[in-house]
Amino acid sequence: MVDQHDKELIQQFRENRNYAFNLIVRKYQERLYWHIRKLVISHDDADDVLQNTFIKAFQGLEKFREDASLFTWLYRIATNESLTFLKKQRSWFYLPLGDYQQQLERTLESDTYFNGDEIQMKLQKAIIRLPEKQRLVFNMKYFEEMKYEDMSAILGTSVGALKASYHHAIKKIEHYLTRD
Amino acid sequence: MKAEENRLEKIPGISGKLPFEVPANYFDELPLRIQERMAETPKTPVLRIYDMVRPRLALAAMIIGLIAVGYAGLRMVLGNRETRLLTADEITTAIEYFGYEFDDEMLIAAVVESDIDLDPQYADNEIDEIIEYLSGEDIEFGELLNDY
Repeated sequence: MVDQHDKELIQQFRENRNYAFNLIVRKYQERLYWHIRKLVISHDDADDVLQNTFIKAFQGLEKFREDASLFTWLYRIATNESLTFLKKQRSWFYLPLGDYQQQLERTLESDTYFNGDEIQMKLQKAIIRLPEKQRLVFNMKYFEEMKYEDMSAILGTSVGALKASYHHAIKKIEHYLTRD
Repeated sequence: MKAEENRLEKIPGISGKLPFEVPANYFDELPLRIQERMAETPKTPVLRIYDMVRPRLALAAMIIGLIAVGYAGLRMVLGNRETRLLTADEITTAIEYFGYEFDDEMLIAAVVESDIDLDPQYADNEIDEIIEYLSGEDIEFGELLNDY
């Protein structure tokens, strides 16, 4: 369903681009930031990816079709930007997936903006070890409590497949948390 | 039903609260930083028709170039030999020239090579005529048979 306020913002964007886009940034920056941060872990990387997301959105907003939700569209850009960033990082350092997950764990351990306890650190490490798609689904469901229908629109995956992904992710994390 | 579908399966003892934080005033300053970056980012240029067809034109030019180089190479290998139709005058000149040069040996060799199937009705007459001709020209018939 299209948010009425978003519709007005898009209309405003056609009349005064910078002003309207500033309102869009203010409305969605936090949700998009946390979505990205959970994937790339470090604050600096999340900041870069978030800015790229908004730049891409600004360049593409004129062609944005109003029958889709602005929120879904922005989330999709943020997800793609995050996954592209992770892929680039991996190929930049010629790291296989397992090594890159260890690299992310080290980033997490040295993150000055991590304020959780030991069990939360362990949970984050378990999430890092998940396959990318399961990681995405788990984060969107567990922390953002997003509806499967919304996740389906953003990720282009069926609700059934998302539910299965989430269930597998939960089982893997529980196994990781209880193994020692 | 939807509510049941979206029921959240949680891990016991772990809340859904994120254990991360951001630098002070990060979200207050972010819109301004994004505005600044947008001002720095060059506008995506509008793709003109020429820009779109340019790669295809380059490919076409490359193919034409390859064909031209191939043709020129072939001409060099074959030594600029041309094949063309002869004019009627040229054919007449050639017949006249070869008419003078065409001696008996060449004639017989040409007949043998051409494998002409003589009509039996006229064969005897022709053989007589040939023998008469050979006698008149003082050509040894046995020698002729040995040669051909």
